Amino acid sequence: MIKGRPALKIVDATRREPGPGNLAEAKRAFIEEVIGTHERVLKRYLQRILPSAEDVEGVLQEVFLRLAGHENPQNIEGNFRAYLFQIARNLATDRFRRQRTRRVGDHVSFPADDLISHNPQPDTSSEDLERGARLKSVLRELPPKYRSVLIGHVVKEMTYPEIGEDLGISVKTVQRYMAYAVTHCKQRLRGIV
Amino acid sequence: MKSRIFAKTEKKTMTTTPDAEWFARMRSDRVDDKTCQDFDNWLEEDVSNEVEYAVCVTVSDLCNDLKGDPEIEELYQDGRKENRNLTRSKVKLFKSVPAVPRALMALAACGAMAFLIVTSLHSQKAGTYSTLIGEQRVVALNDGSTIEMNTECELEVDFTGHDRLVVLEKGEALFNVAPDESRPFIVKAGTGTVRVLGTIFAVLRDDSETRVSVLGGRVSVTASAADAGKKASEETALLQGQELLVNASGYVAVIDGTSLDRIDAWRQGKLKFEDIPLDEALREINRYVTKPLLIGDDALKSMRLTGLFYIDRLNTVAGSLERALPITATEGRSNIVLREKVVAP
Repeated sequence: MIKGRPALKIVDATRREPGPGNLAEAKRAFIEEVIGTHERVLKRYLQRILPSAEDVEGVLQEVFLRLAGHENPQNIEGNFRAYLFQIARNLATDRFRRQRTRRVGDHVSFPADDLISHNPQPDTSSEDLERGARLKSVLRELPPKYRSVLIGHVVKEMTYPEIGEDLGISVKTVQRYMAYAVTHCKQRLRGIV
Repeated sequence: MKSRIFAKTEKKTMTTTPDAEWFARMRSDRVDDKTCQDFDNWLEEDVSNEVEYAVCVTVSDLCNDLKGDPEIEELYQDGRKENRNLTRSKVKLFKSVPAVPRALMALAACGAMAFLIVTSLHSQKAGTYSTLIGEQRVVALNDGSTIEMNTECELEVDFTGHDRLVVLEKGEALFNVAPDESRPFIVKAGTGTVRVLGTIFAVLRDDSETRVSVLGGRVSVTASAADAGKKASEETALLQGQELLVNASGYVAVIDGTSLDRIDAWRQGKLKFEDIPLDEALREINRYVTKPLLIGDDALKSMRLTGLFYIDRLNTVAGSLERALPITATEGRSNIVLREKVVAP
């Protein structure tokens, strides 16, 4: 548990479910357990990418609120931690995309499943244009081939062999350039967000 | 000339972190079950691995938002042009600039020819080389250097830039580097980077560490820190007969050259053991065989082994061990288990 802050209390989320009381109780216990197990690592991640402590707390709360909005969080299959990371990632990047246009807690009623198929809407607010420009300038700092690998794979959705063929480099080199390009963008993350 | 300047800046500023390497690896379409398992293990090793990996994914998500940006295609094409100028042949280069007036072409020809001759002498197309378990192979590079690859080795050669760059993905290789003071020969293996001008040395990369052994001349080794916050360590100079270990977190230790005899032996296709613990010998043998030999009971842990084995005949090694030591071997589907021989009273 993180010092200086009480554990999140799930109050509203279960109220919407008219099912038997013991079911809601089991869910509450489950979510509290989830918070105990995964809160620290999620917080560390959010601190890495979000500019203010306020944002970190906001997103962290929303992650668990969304989980509470899920009908049966106990039944989520696969890697639960990866699932939580995915929600946190989507919420955090959402925050870059539409800063201040949404408020924490707006989406409590959304099942968390929605976030998995989350697709960013094209957005043309001035803040987004600015962020795009900052991101492009970070990409311009990379040697051209490294930049092409990252853009080719992430933006143009090309496979490594396709990129290698197009740029005249081996697939292994594509992979290596990809690692370099991602490392660079990570180091310059503050310049992007 | 532009390419030289480019290569130099690249060398100075470009680093990778393990999380970014994993990210790039997991995005390739050659991810098998073993890789997934290794990836899961790496994630579980430390929470910061998980955190940093998630940051990589975030970076990719952010870049993904550039879909539909009018400048993106132009940014992508820059890398393609760069490539044309560097590696395409003379004919292609000339063909690609048909609009250039003849006079200007003639004027540029001298300089261009000189440049192309130099690059054709010095650049070798990027390529990947690998050996199977138990296989050994010698690769001759066109700068005069040779690479002797040991069992289950994978490496990538990239001579298109200023430096002669080799990335050892896994396994062990011996590098006999042709001297060229203007073009350093660089071997990257995990967190270790070896930089030489002309010498002979071996690099062994396994899951946890990278070992560099110098057989002749001198080399310098740099360990890159595993976590992005730490600074890369300073260069460590190694002389003939010395060895160095770099672990995953970038810790460096210089040790006595204990594996020089071993390297000498594998280069001749042999494994030589002189009174060493059996489990240590088995670890070495298992690098070369598809059916690993396992110790089935504790009594074997105190046994020692002396012997000479030929790498291409290791399929019968269990029988040889049965004759040399008081043990019995039981061959299973995927391994061979060794147990102490029970002598009837």
